[in-house]
Amino acid sequence: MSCFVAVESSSNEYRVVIGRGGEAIFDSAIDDCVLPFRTLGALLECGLELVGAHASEIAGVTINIGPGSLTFVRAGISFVNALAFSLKVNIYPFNWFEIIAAQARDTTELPVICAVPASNDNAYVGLISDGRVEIMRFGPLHEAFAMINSEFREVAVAGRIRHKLAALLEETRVIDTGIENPDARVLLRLGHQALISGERSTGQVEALNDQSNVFYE
Amino acid sequence: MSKDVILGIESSCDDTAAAVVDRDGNVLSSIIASQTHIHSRWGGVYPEFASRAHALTVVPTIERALEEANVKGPDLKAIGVTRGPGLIGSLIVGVNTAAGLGLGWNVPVIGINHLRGHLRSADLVERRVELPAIVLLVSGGHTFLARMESLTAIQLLGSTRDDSVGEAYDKVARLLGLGFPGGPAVDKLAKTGTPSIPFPRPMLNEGFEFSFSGLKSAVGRFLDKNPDVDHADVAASFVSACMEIMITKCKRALEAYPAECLVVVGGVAASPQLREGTTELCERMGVKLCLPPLKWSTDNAAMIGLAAWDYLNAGVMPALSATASLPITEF
Ligand SMILES: [Zn+2]
Repeated sequence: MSCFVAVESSSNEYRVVIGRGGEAIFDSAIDDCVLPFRTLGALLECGLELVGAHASEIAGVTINIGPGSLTFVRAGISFVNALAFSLKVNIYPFNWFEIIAAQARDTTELPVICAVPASNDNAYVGLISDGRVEIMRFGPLHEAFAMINSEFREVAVAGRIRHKLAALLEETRVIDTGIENPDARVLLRLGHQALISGERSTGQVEALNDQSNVFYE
Repeated sequence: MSKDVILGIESSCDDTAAAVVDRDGNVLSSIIASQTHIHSRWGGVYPEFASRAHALTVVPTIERALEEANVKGPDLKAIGVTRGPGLIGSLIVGVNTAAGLGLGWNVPVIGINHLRGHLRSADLVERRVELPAIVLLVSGGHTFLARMESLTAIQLLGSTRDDSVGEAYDKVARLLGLGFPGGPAVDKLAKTGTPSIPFPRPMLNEGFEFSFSGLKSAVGRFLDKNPDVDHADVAASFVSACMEIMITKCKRALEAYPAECLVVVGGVAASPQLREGTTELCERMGVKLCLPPLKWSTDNAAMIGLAAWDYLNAGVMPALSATASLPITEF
C-alpha cells in the first residue's frame, strides 16, 4: 500500500513524517527511533521499518524548500531530490511561509506577519492574509518588514523571531500565534492534497535563498 | 541484476563528480561538473556558492555517469560517497544525495574518506602501486606524507602545520595576477624564469611536517619591496622552494621506511616540475614512482568509487555523516 513522505529540516533538525491516505502513521519527532546519527536517511529507514513499508511503496515526497537553516534545508533537498529520482516519483515542494500560512489558518483569521532569521541580521519576512502568502521579502529585518507592512489595526505574528516583529509593530495590536516553526504534519497534509490534485509536482527542487526571485518580484 | 560496479560520488570542495568503477579500478564513466567559473572571480572557493552549485548539479551528474556506464541504479553493488574532509555545506549535499539514492535503489551506501580516495587514484585504470608505499598527497586542501602498508593500513608521517602547498600556489598566483586556480599558471610562468630569489624553505631540515605560510608571505613581502621584479623569476624561485621542500621530505621518508614505491597524488601532482623532481628522486633511490594520469590527480569520483571497494572488501562501514575534518588515519 502506497505511502507519502514529508521532510522538514528548516529549523536545524531533521524531521520525517510518513503518511498513508493523508494521515500521519510515523513522525520522527514522536516515534521511537534509536539511532547513532539522526540523519534523514536513517530516520526514513527507521520509519519505514516501524510502519512495515518498503521504500518502493513511496508514491511521492513533500519538502519544505526554505528559507531556513541553509545547511539543513540543502541537506533535505539533496536527500529528497535523490530519493524522488531513484524511485521515479514526484516532489511536491512548499516554502516556509506556505506551511506557516496553513498552520496559522487553524489559529487566527487575522493577517499574519512572519519571519525567518538569516545571516548578518537579515531576515526573510512574509505577509499572510486570508490564509495565503501575499508577499515575501529579504533584507535587513526592519527594511524587509517595512516592505511588507501595511497600516494594520490588528495583526498576528509567527516564527522564531516574532517578538522582534512585534517590537516593530508599535501602533498595532499584535496577537501571538505561538507558531515557531513549520510543522511537518501540516506539510504532509499540504503535500498529500497536492498529490491528489496533481498540482505543483516536479522532479527536482531548489532551496530558496537570498537570491531567489520570489523575494524581489 | 546486480553488477560488479560501484557508483562514486564526490562533492567535498568545488567539483561535483560521479563515476562508475569496477573492483579492478576500471572506470566505466567519470563525469565532473566543475565550478571553476563560479569561484574564479573570488580568487578561491566560496563555500556557500559551492554548496548551491552541488545541490543543482549532483543528480544530473549522477544520471549522466550511470547512462555512460550503461548501469541502472538498482544494479549497483554499492554507492561510495565522500563523507569528509571538506567544506561541510558541500559534503552534506553529496552524503544526503547518496543516502536518498541508496534508500530508493536499495543499495548500500558507504561514506568514504576523501584522502583515502586520493591515495587510490594512482590505481585507477591500471594497477600501479606496489606496497608498502610512501604517499605524498599535495593539493589545494591537503599536504601530507603517509606510509601505506596495505590498502587499509595507513600511517600519517607528517602533514602541513598551516597552508597546503596548493593554497600557497593559489596565493602566489593572486599576487602575480595569474587568476584562479593558480597552480598550472604558476608552474607555466616558472618555466620561463630563473630561480634566482632565495625564498625560505620552512621546516626543510625537520622531519616529515610541512609549512608553507612563511614561504607564501615571503613572496608577498618580496613583491612589495621589488615591484619591478620579473614575475617569471618570482614564480621560478617560489616553485623551486616548494619542490625542494617536497622532494627533500619524500627522500627522507624513503630513507626512513622500506618502500616499493613513491605515490604522488592530489592536484599539485599535475605540476610538471613535481613530476620531473620525483622521477629523478625515484630513479636515484631505485624506487618505483606511481603517478596517476593527470585526469585522476585532481578531485574525481572514480577514486572514491575505488576506495569504496576497499571499504567493502574490508567490511568497513563508517557512519554516513558529513565530517568537515577527517584525518587520513580514519575511514
Ligand atoms: Zn582532494
